[in-house]
Amino acid sequence: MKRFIPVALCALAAIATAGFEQEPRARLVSVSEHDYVELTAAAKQRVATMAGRGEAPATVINAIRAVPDSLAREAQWSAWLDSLKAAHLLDPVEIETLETLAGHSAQVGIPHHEFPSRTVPAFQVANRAQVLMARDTARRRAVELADSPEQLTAALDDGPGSQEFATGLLALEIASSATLSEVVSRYRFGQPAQAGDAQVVLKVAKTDAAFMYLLPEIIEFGDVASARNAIRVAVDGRVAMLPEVAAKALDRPELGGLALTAAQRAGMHPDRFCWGLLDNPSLGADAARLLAAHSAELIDEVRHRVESASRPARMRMLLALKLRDSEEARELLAELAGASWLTDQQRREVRAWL
Amino acid sequence: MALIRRSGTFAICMLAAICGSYVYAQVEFRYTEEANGGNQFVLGYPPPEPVDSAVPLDGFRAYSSLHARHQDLMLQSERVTGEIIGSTILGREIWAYAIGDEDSQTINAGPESSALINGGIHAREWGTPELTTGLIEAAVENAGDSYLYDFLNDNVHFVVVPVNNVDGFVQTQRYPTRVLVGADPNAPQSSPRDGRMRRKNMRDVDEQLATLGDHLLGIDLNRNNEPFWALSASSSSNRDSLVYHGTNSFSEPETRALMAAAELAGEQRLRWYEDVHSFTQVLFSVRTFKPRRNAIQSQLLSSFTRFHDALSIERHDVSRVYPEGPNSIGSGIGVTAEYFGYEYEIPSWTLEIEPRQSAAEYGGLGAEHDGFILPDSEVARLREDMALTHALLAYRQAGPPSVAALELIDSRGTVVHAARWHYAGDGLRELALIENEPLLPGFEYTLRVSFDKPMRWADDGVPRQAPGHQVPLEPAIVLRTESGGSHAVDTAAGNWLGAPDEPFVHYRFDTFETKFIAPLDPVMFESGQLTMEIDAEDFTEQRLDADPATVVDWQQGAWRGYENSSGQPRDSGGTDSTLTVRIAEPWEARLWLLRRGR
Repeated sequence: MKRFIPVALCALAAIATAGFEQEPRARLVSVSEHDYVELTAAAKQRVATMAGRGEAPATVINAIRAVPDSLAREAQWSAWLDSLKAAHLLDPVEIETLETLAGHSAQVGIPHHEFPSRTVPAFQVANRAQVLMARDTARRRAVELADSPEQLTAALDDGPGSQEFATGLLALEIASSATLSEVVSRYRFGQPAQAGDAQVVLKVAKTDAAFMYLLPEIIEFGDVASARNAIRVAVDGRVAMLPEVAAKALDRPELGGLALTAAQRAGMHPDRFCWGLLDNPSLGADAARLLAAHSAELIDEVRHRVESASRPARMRMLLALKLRDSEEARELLAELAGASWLTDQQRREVRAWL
Repeated sequence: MALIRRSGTFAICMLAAICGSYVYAQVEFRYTEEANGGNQFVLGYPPPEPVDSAVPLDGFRAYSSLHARHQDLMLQSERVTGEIIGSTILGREIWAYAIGDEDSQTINAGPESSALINGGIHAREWGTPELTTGLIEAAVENAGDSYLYDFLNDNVHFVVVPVNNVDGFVQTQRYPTRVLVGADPNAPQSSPRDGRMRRKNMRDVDEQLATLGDHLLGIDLNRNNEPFWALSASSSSNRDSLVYHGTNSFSEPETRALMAAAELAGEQRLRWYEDVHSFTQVLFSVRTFKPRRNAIQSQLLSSFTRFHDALSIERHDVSRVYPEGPNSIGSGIGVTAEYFGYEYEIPSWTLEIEPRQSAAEYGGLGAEHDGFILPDSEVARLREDMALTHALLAYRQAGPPSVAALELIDSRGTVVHAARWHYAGDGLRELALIENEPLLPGFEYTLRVSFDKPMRWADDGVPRQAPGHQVPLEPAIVLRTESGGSHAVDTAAGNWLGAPDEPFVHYRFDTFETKFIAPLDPVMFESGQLTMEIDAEDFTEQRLDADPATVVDWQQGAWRGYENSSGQPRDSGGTDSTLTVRIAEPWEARLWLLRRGR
């Protein structure tokens, strides 16, 4: 059994008013790291024990409220908040308690991880209570929305940035396939997506694999962030249409290196698609990186291509040789370092690699 | 220990069960988005994974991509040069990148000043390599703006070490969700170590998370520095400690590489240093025994704080205050910022990026150490906002503004009077004058005064105050006689040159133009000479160097050559009264008009 040492006795009892604390009401009691560990462990154990006994939420909450030592009480609130993370929907008494805790002033201070002479709040009870309340509210609303396609579409029409839109996305996670189909049917295929459309369709695709066929569409017409996320979903999920995803992604250079990852995962060898991308401002560096890692003919190809390549492509060929980090590559770099098309600055930098 | 290495987690857990309550086994935990059983730290958002993309995105780039990006920018842009400043414990190159033009001279003030920014010294603080890389990217993307970034390119030698602890950073990215808990000497039950939460370098550490015997080892590179090495309880001689300071100061190749970066920056020209860390959203500044330096540092950091907060409100409707947390003078814990602060007597600080307390600020659930795990969705914003904030800092610490030139143009478009300061070497400027004609009382002139830096913030081509700063939009200009008579030029009707399609001198908004009528009051032309009193502040509220003849520079912890209105060298500047212009009496004016007629 770990002993619980009343923190009021063992704390350094220094009242910290750290210069960078912005909450004028917050007066932290600074405890040592050791005491913090003891405090936390004891709190976790107590809350876990109550939960293990199957105590009702109200009983647990009242037991914590009754803890006389304010520092120990705060630690137990923190442990209690942890215990709510896995809960799907919260009990009314839990919500009521969270509302109270949302206004909680931090009590326990611990040394800052970098500058231990400074004290920072240990438990972030108020912030976490607010987050749990917000998540619970969103989940409840999402359940409503998922059961009502009309309300769901109205929420999604509120657009990105709105709370309703965010909740609508959450609702998609629990909506029926029929509802998802209805949502998708509103999407205007083959046209640039309106704000939020791509996020909605991507969420549908992530929720139900039957809609993964939409990924290429998102990549072609969605906003940049959604298109990138769609590539990541396709790559991580190794979806069947990865070649199509890759093709669409390569057509949108602003999506960056993820397009190349998709192409590679789709089974395309970098030698097939990277050489032509070397002068692309958004994809060239990644193309060089992939060639360095995978091209069996890198040295010969560079030798063959470099003189006729554009200036950016030449630089990326040099970069590929540098990243290859082999004796053969260094030999060619040494040779190319004398090329007339290098500026003095570039020559210095290439020579620094040797 | 060999047994543990072979048999993995199961044996470790068994060991824990066998041992007493104060001996904790080393158990692998994972960061997850949602609670789904097992040893987890539940973030409430997807644990970021490194992405193979050289170009920036909403998330963290893999080190290989970041490095490719740096090298690519170095080769593709004339504004970026790179140099290997050392190699890590495991032999990886450590690079520094200098941003700026090829020469080492400012436009009109002699040798350039320099700044040094260090990132990624603590491996788990993934936001910092993104921030430092963002500084380089912003400089390249904004090249040719004829404004802030061109000014910095011309006048500042800006050196960035994007990733100092390369080995450690690569190690954290190798295990982006995995950590070990159970053996930290201070907080064995809760403190995650190695894997995603490695902080130290990789001395005596292999790259396998499963080999537990070495996972607490390594040196805390931010405890390895003079002048306060091993002098504080905030560092440790315990090799297992998170803050192990090493066997001697600067024992590590990574810390020595930073000294090489200072040489690259030009040690004599350094004007500020920043070490970028995560988290708690604060600026831990280093105060030394020089009060003037400390005051200048606080003013600089006040600019940081106000600008970044106001920018964040403007762009995202969210306040993000980075308060200054100054240290106690004469003490320290061995961090790099202390070394630069005391060794070079320059403003020097540790920047702890957001969040302020935990990732609950982004809707996270408050998992253990989640402040080190910025959600993917926050990365681009952080990178872009911080790039601009750092550009502002570099702009301010490039030095206070001074008057560069003045022209008076009559209604025919003829320049009747021109004055221009030229750098003459040895920290001095000389004034070149062209006087074609005195001011003629009652006649209208265009007055054009140029400064040596952009003076107003640009918002879609419109001059305005910089976020968080209160500067009168127009300079104050007064014509004054020797006897004290004065005539204020109405500058409210004037404008800063540099709007789209409008000509300007060096940079947008470095020149102010207004019209005025030469005074008719006899008091104003009785001596035949008027002093032009010019008072202005740059967009960070730095007042003019009142005497441009002595170039402002940084020396021993304070500004040198930064005169106030009385000509005294201080750190606050004042009104420039160095320029005079002749004014004719009415009878003489008639002669000038006759001469014009011919």
